[in-house]
This record gives sequence, structure tokens and C-alpha cells, in this order.
Amino acid sequence: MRNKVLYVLLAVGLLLAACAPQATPTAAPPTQAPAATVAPATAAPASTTTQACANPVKIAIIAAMSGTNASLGNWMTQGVTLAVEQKNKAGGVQGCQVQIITYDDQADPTTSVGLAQKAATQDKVMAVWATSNSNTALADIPIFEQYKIPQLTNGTFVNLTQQGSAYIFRVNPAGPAYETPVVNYLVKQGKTKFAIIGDNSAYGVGETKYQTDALKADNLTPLDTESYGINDKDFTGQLTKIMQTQPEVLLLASSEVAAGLIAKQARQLGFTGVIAGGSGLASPVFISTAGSAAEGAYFTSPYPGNDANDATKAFDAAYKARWGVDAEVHGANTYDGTNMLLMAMENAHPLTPDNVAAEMHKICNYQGLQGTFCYNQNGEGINSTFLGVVKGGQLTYLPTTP
Amino acid sequence: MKKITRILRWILILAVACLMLVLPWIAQNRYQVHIVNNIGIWLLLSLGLNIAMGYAGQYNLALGALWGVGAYTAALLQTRLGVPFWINLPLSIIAAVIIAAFVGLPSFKVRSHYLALVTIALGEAMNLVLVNETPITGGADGIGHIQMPNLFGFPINNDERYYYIILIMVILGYVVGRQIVGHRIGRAFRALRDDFQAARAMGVNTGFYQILAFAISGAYAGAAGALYAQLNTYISPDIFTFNSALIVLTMILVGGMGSLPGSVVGTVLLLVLNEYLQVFQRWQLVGYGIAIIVVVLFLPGGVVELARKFESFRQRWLAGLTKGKSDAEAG
Amino acid sequence: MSVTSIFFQTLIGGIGIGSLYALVALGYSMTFRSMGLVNFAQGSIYMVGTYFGIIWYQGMVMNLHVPYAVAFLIGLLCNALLGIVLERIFRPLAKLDLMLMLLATIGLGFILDNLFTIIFGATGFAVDSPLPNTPWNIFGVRVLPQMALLIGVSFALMIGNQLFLSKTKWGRAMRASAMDFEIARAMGIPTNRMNALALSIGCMMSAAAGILAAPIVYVSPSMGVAVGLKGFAAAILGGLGSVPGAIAGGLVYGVLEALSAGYISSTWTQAIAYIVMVVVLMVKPSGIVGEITVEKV
Repeated sequence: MRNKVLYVLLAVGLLLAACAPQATPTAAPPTQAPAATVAPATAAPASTTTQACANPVKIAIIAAMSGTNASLGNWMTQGVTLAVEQKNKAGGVQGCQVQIITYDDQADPTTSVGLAQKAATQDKVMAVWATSNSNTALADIPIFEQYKIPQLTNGTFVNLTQQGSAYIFRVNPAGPAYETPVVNYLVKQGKTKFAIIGDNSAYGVGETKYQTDALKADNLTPLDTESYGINDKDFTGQLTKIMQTQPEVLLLASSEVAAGLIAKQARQLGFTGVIAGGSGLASPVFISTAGSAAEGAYFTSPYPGNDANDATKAFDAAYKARWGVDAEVHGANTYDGTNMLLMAMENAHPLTPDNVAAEMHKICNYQGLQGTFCYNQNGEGINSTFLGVVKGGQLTYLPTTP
Repeated sequence: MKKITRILRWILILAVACLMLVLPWIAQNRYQVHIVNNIGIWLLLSLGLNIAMGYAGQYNLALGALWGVGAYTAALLQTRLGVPFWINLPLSIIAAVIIAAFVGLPSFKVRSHYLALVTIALGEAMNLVLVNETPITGGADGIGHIQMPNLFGFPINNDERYYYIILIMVILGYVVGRQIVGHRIGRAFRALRDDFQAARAMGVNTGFYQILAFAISGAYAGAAGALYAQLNTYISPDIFTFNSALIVLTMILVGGMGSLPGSVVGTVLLLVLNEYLQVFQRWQLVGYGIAIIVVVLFLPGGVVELARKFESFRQRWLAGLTKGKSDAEAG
Repeated sequence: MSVTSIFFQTLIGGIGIGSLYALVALGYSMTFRSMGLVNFAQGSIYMVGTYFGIIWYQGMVMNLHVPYAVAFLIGLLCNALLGIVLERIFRPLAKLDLMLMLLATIGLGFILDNLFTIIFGATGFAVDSPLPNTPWNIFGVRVLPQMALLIGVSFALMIGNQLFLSKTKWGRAMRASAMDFEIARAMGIPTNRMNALALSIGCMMSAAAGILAAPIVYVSPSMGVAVGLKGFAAAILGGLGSVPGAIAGGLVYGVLEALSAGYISSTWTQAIAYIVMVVVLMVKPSGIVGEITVEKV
């Protein structure tokens, strides 16, 4: 008898599942002020609309909006929203307003794949941002390849563009572009003794490999390579071991906080050599965590900083006006990517996801905040980074040598 | 009266069965089918854990890693050796059963919190093998390019077709589960759970049944893993962690420990709820935490407890009704 | 560096992080011995306590930059109050099945973690060290003043706690209440209040750990996740419910991590720590110290 109730519950559950709620379109991330919600009828006066625009064009953002990785999703949403709002103010894409739908995957691959399905089949988006985490981005690739929807990512993992998909586009340089310049620069300075420490996540393992490869290209091998778990806070064991090999350079393959802690602990243990690494060190978080230990650390970044040129200054001003904080690298690369995406949408006739992807592939010599983009068939658009050094507690960039 | 309820019951079962059969066609889009497929995979996990924990009292919190064993076995066999679905599925189950039996060994020595911690530790250690043994497992990058199955020339290449495979596996899992808990093994399991010393004194081979409980949850996890890998075509170690075991644990506690229908209700409820909770954005996880505490405090037996309560209320109401009637007749 | 100084350098790092685990493990043990409840929100309590103290020190509240010692005391006090609130929440839980307890306390941790993420942001911040950042050089072993403070204060707190439990009237009442709830109540000991006191002490220890470690590590809403799990492992390793056991377990776990990272393989450090713990429990299920016997098969 009890079973009857359960069958009813099950049936109700299935019915509920069958009528899953529509995604909630939000034109702005949950954090900030009221969104300039896109209302096609009001924003674009009927007289100027050249074609009937029944539905706004939809762009999805799939990223971690809550939980421990929320910062990444937040930065992505801010960069994308800024570019879309500017475009909408200028009349939208082919006369249509652009709408952003955000999905929170909490950096969990299983959730992310489900949301990718939702964006593709239920909300029928024109293009999608997915995601800042290389692992979840990788998990989503088969979905968007299947539905032929362009997928933009700012993950650094090199494999992202080697999955054979024609629908993945990276809007920032891949991993090796961060590690090779800094290694080559230090080798040119006459350094030969390197040691590497990196975390055991996909990011850390990848960067460790790129650093090792870069050294190998210069006929060097690291004296020691150590790893740690992403939640570790004490690196004495690893660093003590590394220091026995007396390296001149300590290469970090770490995210911002861990990089800061490692730099600090290495100096406290008496390490006097050079500390260097990739984008993990190109961050105010690294500097504030490491304190004085950050001084003199070499880093690479795809974004030359807010004061680099007129374009970055204008971007920073707009970003600050909209979000109340200074722009940083993730905001910059998602802004670049969204601008290119909107351009591709403008050129796509008729406006279908497949055509947008084709137009994305045609983009070349696009001048973005990070430099000049030129997409190849794999979806790799830019390969240059800026080398810098921490001076006086500030990220300062070295003059670019071609 | 009894006849009517029996007919009603059959109609309901039939309706549910029909609904299940035609689900891919009545779904509005593929996403909904994907959600249902997802529910099926988690359902296998929760059935397995419920048998081990709810019936036999064996805390197997290495479940996430065992799920991974199934997924990696299927993925590696398929991508490296081209082993087809209908062979790699049973092999994944076998692999997970073997590993699960080893995970169960400490249950000879420790119980309760200690067993929980030991299985958490073993699960996390196994996850580290997936992360660190890069040449074999692909490391933190995971394994991509897994093919969806092709059954005897018929490609199962989308969610709608895959749905039927999952449906068959879930029904099979449920029926087998009922056989297990309904018969001799089930009685031994309950004896083990309720009074360990008495069970042993009564001549129950406790060690055998403890390992069996772990192995059964491993079998379900192995099947779920193989299904997961070939549905999503990409797997990475960060899925198969203690966190996944916790999600399954939540499902069976919300549904009802020691009740297979409870597993079904809990899994469906939680995953469907998850869809609706997304509107709360950043508050979603806070709401989730509050919901868990409310269920534990006010409904410690899970949702099936509610059904039980409703039933006893109905019985009393019916009894009152007939009593009133007979009173009237007597009067 | 000589072989011995390398060893001691590694060891001191392990003791530092180990005393942090030990204080969190104390939180687990104090809750378990008083209420028979494993509080899996202990990692979140550690995080919450850290924020309660550090926000004053960092000037995040009305730009007040209170001295470190005062911030430390504020953090402890706030977490003590949290402990009293928790006792009330946990009272109905203590009667439930272990897995329900686990789930409810994890749910609580979930709420705290995500609430603090919403309030303070997910990114977190670095904390300025109240002591000089240049390490002392003791026979070739470098010790950071803040690390010495962490180890010193942790030991003082642990010893103080042990003395309180064994020597004072309240402490003895708590022990009685922990040993047999019913008899203690019959003897007129206000057991609920004793439990609240035990939980408060546990929460204070976690706050102390967090605030002492903050300038060395980094403060973020997810800081408690790993520490919470390792603290639980440490508490079990030492013998759940035992105060000296929690201390020994924490130190052993920390030293084990550091030594295996330094001498065996940093890739497998975590796995080694897990396996050693499993082996210890197999050989001696009551833990290293283990005063309360385990329900043994």
C-alpha cells in the first residue's frame, strides 16, 4: 500500500522533470546593481530596426557563480556583460538585442555538462561562454560540437583546442605561451639551475609540463620537480627538498594564493634566487599574499595592465564605471572574446550558431586588449603574452622584445 | 474496497511504465532527457549505497571512487582497446566489485565513525591514483573522446536512445536489489546492521556478508560509472570524489535509509529540486544546506517516512470510519 | 644545510601545521566526548572563527585596526557564543543515527561556507603578520616568529584545556557529564550547560587555530574544507573523544605530511597520510592515545 504513494510521488517527480523550468534570463550577474535588462522593443526604436526581431539573440555563460570558484564566474560575467551592453546600446546585432543567460555549474563537470545541454537544446543559444575552468570546459566540448554552437573559453589548458572540435575558441593564450617566455628570458640572463613546484590540478600539472618543455628546448632539465595538493598551506617539506639542490630559479606552476604562500615560505627558508612563473603570479592576490617576498618575481600575463595604452585605459574606465572595481585579466579576455563574438554575429548571414562559428574562424588581425587575434582552425586566436616583474609591490611590464 | 485499490495500483504502475517508455518523445527537448538520464545514473549509485548502508549498515563512503573505477575501466577499455559497450559494462562492474571488496576489508576491524573515515580515506587515496598516474589515467586532464555505444550495428548516439539503456539498467538494478534485500541475504544484512554480535552468535557469517555488502554497492557504482563515461564521453578525476559519495548519501537519507523506493524518491527529488533551486543563484547552496537540516530534524526517516505516516493515518481514519458505521448499525 | 638541520626544518613545518590540525581536532573531540556527536562543520567553524577575529585586525569593520591580540580575543569570544548556539541546534541531533548527524552537520557547514562566500566574496585576502616577517635562525633551522607563536600558543591552549578539564570543578563536572550523561544529570550537574561549555571550548580552539595561522596561510571562505577533514582524521588517529589524543593525532598527522613530502614523494603525500592513518586504525582502532574504547568488532 505504501508503494502506491511512492508511485504517485515518482510520477509527479517525472512530470516535474518533464516540465523543468525555463532558464532564468539575467542580463547581469547576481552581484551588482540593477541590470540594464535588454528589452528589444524599448531599446531599439521600431523605426530604426531594419528587420523583424522576434527574439533577442541569446548568449549563455556557463561558469562557477557560487561556491569556491565563484570569482572566475563573476569576472567572466562582468567582462561579457560590459561588451554586450555596449553593443546593445549601439543597436545590437543585426538589429537584434543581445541577451545573456547565466548558468551556475559550481565548477563541477557533471553539472556543467547538464547545463550545456540545457543551453543548447532548451534555451537554443547562439553562442556560449564555457568556462574558466579547463576541466569543465573540456567536459562541455562534445556537447557544443554536437549542436554546432560556438563555445568560447578562457581556460589555459592546451588540450582544449586539440579535441578536434571546430566550435571551440580560446580567447587568451594557451599554457605554453605563459611559461616559455619567462623561462627563455631567464635562460638568456644566464640562469641554468631551475627547480619547479606546482599543484596537482589540471592547471598545475599542465604548467609544470610546459615549464619542463621550455627548459628542455633550451637543453636544460629541472634540478627538482615537486608537487602539492591544491588545498595545501605548508610547503616546507617540498621547499626544503628543493633547496638542497641549490637552484638559481624557482619556477611556480601555481594559482595565485598558493604562489604567494610558496614565494613567502621559500624566502623565509632562505631562498635567495629568482622566483618566476606564469599568470598565477600576475595578480594582486599573489602580491598581497607573498608580501615583500613577491618583490623581483617574474611573471607573464596576456593582458598588459590597465595603464598600458589608450584601449586598456578606456576599457578600465568603462569597467570601473559599470562594476565599481578595477578591471583585471579575466574581465579583459572575456571582453575581447565577446567583442569578437559580436563581430562574428554581425557578419553571419543568416544568423545561425554554425555560421557564427564559421565567422569566428575568419577573424584575423583583430586588435584586442591582449594584442592581435588571428584564429586558426583549432580555435587558437592569440599566442603572445607580456613579461613582467614585481617592482615596489606593483606589476610592472618589461618592454616587449619581438 | 480492497479490489478497487488493487486495480488503482495496477493502473498507476501501468501509467508509470507507459510514461517511462515514451518519455523521450514527450520531452520538450533533449536537455530534459539528459536530466532523466542523469537521474538514472545517480539512481544506480543510490540503490547500491542504500543496500550497503541502509540494509547492511556498512558505511561505504568510497563510493565516489568506486564510481570512478567503473567509469575509468569502461573508458580505458573502450578508448585504448576498442572494447565495445556490452563487454566493457560487465568488466567495469567486475573491476568495481573487486576494488569494493578490498575497500570492505577494514570493516572486519573497525565500525561506525571509524569505518566512515577509513572508507573516505581509501576513496580519496584512489582518487589520487586517478590524478597522479597520468600515463594510465590521463591524470588531472581526464579522458576524452569516449565513444557512445554501438549495439550490434545500431548506434546509441544520443540521449534519447541512451535513455533506454539506462532505463533497462535501472529496472534491472531495482529488481535485483529487491531480490537481494527480500531474501536470505537481506535478512542476514539486517541482522548484521541491527545487532552485530547477535548476528555472529546466531551463526551468520558476518565477514562474508560485510564484504558482500561492499561488493554490491561496488557493482552498482561500476555500472553507473560505465554508463556515465559513455554518456558524457569525457571523464576527469574531480567527478569521482568524496563529494559525490556525499551527494548519494544525501539522496538516500532524504528518501529513506533501508528502503529501495526511498532511494528512488530521494534521487528524483534531489535532482529535480536542483533544477528549480538554480533560480536562487548564489543562495542556492545555502538553501540546500537548510533543506538538509530541516529534513534530518523533522523527517529523520526520509520521505518514505511521510508515506508511512500517511498510511497509518489513513488506516486509523478508515478504522474510525468502519467503527463509526458499525456503531451506527448497532445503534 | 646539514642533514640534521634539513630534518629539523621539515619537522618544524610539520609541527606548525600539525598544531593547527590538533586545535581543530580538539574541536571534534570536545563535541564528541560531550554530546557523542561528530561535528563535520568543524572546518567551517574554524573558518568562521578566523573571520570573526581577523576582520577586526584587518580593519574590515568600520576601518578599525584593533591590535592582533585584541582581535584574537574577539574571535575567540564570538566563536564561544557560536558554540552555545550550536549546542542548542545539535541537541536533537545527538540522538540520531551517525549518518544523519554527518549529513546535518555537513549541511550546517554548507550554510556557513556559502553565507561567508556571499558576505565576504570567494577570493579571500592575505593577512599582514603582526610579528616581524624575518625568520629566526636557530642552529641553521629557520623559524618564522608567527610560526613560533602559533606553536607556542597552541601548546599553551592545549595544556590549559587539559588542566581545566582535570583540575577545576567545572572541568570535572564536564568530564562526569561526558562519561555518563544520565548519572551526571541525576547528580545535579546541568548537563546541557556542560555540553554548551564543551562546544564553546571546541569552537574557541578552532578560532584560535585560524587566527594564529591566518598571517601564515591565507583567509578565504574555503579555508576550512581541507583543514576540517584533516582535523577529523587527526582526531580519529589520536582516539576520538580523547583530548591528549586529539593533540597527538594532529601533530602526528602534520609531521607525517611534512616528512613524506620532504623525504618520500610530494606527489603522493596525501595518499601516504591517508594510508598510514588507515593502517594505524587497523592495528590500533582506539587510536594512538585512545582513552575511550572504540566499538570494536
